[in-house]
Amino acid sequence: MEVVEAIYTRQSTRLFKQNPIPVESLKQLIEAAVRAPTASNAQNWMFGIVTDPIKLKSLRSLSPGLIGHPAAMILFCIRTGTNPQTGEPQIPEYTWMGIGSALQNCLIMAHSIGLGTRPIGSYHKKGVAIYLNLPENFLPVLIVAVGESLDEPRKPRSINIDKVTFWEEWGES
Amino acid sequence: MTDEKELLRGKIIDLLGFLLTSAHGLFDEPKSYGPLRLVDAAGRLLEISADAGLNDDFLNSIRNTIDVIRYESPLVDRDILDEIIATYARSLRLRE
Repeated sequence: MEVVEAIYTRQSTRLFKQNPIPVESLKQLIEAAVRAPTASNAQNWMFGIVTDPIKLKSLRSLSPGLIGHPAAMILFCIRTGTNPQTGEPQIPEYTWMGIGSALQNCLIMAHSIGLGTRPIGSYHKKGVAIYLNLPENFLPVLIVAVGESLDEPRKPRSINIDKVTFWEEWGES
Repeated sequence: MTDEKELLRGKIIDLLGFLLTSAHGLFDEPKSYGPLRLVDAAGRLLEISADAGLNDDFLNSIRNTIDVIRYESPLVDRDILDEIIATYARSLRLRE
């Protein structure tokens, strides 16, 4: 799938098939995520992949925002503290931009290899951190549910970019 | 404990987690998520009931309508919820 097509046709999945996802495919998603830009080359992210059906069931019970039964879940975390590469303090805004870019890379890659995804923000962070035995400096940011989609493709959103764009300076048409 | 009871207990524990984390989410999440969580909880309860062989045509029809909300709508439509409750109310009269 071409990048342009992937960007235009990606949608969040609600219903997932139960088929297991090959480990190589899941690794591809992380490979895509870590190629996102990251301020000061901090690479201050960590990705937890969960495929064990019992663990998925438990995570589901901690994640009210999760609809359906995905075959895998990826927990996106930020490693807090100093920049692991330079030892300098991290700038929160840049850290959030980095994890957001990694997320988008992951979603687009998943779509391009035929996997559906759904980012989930509604889950109990502390509960998930305890359940997955996360170190204290791992801050859970969001969960991405992954699986083959059962959804019908929805009509792409029609968006007028003029409403969200200005050229050269504000007030110019 | 029998396997059947153990299975049911597991499903109740899952539902318990969903209810408690949903309750916590209501402090910070958008108000419109509240109806969605409760309708989702109703759907999960009906799933457990169906798995235990307790659902009849009435419960299945409610479950089908609820599943449309759960899987196809970003938010709960007040009118659809009204209609589900009306169906439920009518069934109460039949039970008497």
